[in-house]
Amino acid sequence: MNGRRFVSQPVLALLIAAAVLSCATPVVQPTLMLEQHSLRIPLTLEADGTVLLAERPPLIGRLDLSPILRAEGVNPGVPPDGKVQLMMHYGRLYVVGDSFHALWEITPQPGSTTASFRPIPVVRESGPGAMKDVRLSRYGSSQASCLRLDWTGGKPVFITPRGEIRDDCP
Amino acid sequence: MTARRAAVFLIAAALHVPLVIGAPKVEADPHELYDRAREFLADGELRAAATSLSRLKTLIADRPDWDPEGVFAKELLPPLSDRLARLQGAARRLDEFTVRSLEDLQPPDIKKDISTVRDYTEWATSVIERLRGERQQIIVSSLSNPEEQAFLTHTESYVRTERLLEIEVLKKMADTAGDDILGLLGGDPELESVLVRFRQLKRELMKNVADRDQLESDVKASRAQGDAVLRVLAAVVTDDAPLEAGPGGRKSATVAALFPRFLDGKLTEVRARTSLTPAELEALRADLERYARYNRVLKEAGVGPDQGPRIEALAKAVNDLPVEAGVLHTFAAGGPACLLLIVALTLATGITTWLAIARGRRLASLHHSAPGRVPRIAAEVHGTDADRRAV
Repeated sequence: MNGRRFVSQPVLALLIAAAVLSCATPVVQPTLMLEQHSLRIPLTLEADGTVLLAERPPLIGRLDLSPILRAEGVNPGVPPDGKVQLMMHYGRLYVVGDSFHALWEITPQPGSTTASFRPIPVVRESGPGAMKDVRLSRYGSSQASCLRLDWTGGKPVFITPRGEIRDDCP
Repeated sequence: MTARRAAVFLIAAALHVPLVIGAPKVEADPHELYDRAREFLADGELRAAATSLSRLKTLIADRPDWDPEGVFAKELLPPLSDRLARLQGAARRLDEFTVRSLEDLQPPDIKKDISTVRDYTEWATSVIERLRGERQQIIVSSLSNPEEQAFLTHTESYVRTERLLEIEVLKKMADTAGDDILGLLGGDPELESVLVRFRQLKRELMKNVADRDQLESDVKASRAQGDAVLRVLAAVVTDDAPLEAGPGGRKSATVAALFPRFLDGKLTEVRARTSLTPAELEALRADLERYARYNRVLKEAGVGPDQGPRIEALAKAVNDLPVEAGVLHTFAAGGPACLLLIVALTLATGITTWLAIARGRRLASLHHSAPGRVPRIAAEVHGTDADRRAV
């Protein structure tokens, strides 16, 4: 008797769960095609380390790069040449500048004025090993194009749509 | 500045080398070429813009990876190419307008009637206004976009039309009216700018004329100096000999003409001879060496053609002439003994002559003196020396 009651309890729970699921309306998120890229956007660094996107219409807004400048060892008040390059690639922003050691990926957080960011190390050495005459481009096939980073004296590197760094664009 | 930049770009593009000034030291990507083409267009550098666009097309055609979704090929390049084509077409029409306007400019003749001065100034003003209107019409009909109209004003073609309106029309009027118009236009405030431009043109023309006169004067002086040098040279190489006139009866003063004529004269002179004395032969040979030297110098200096054949003919004529055998030459050929004999005979002849002269003088003095005053002497005649004592 006790054993029969022990077995029936899980079965009952399953039946209840199945009944609940069968009554719930399935939620299907609709999608549409969106290719979100930009051409290379040269921007001027302000003294406080921010750049004004309105410098290159039609983008408007403001981007505070001071955490990135600090990480690169660049004094926000004294930018290397006062310029950085920004490019939008598959919904993310990528930023680089002369004397940087990394390409910085900025992922917007929709519905807010904040974004997460991370470095993609390109040059490991510090000091003279920093990049010079940097240039961001788009490269690759139409199915999966890459962000291409060129600089004087170095081999180009490619950032895949997933944000991985590679020596070539797959 | 933009022109120099464009020139640098064109040269670099022609040489297929990467630009160093103001550009990254990596291979140009489509975006760079696109930006350059836009900048060149905005600066009115249509040729440089066309070159940049051409490079962009080639790059994305040869290496499609540089244009993954065809953004440049399909979206960005066509409108820029269209804009370039419109600007090129407008520039071409402006060039045609400039040429046609210059050909059609026919100012009235101000010198015929002084009352036409006002017509004349009205003509200049109306022509400039009309041409400005025509130019504006060309621009508006060719380019509807005000931005492109602004770009066109930076092109060489537009600058040429500006020159047409600001300078060429007035210059044409100045060419027709001369300086008289300056005095006639003075005092009219409406035409003050015209007058200022006229004066500027006049100054430029006067300076050009002065420069030209100075150059002509320098050329004349230089030519006179050169002629004098050539005359001296001609006198030297021809031994200052009076020469007959050249073909056509015109006397030529050039060394190139005188020297061969002089050699021909010498040749004729030598061929007329039947023989030469050794002294003449020696002098002629010295002359031949001198002529050869002259010929070499003249030839190296590029003054006249080579006269070597003439000199060789003269040398042959000299060498072909027989040389006369002189007395001394004959005796010299006989050897030292013959010379001694000549000397002895000469001395004997001299002594005999002297004795005969002395005896003649003595006899003459005996005939002229009186008999009393003649001193007597004892005379004894002997057989063997009767003649000597009888003296």
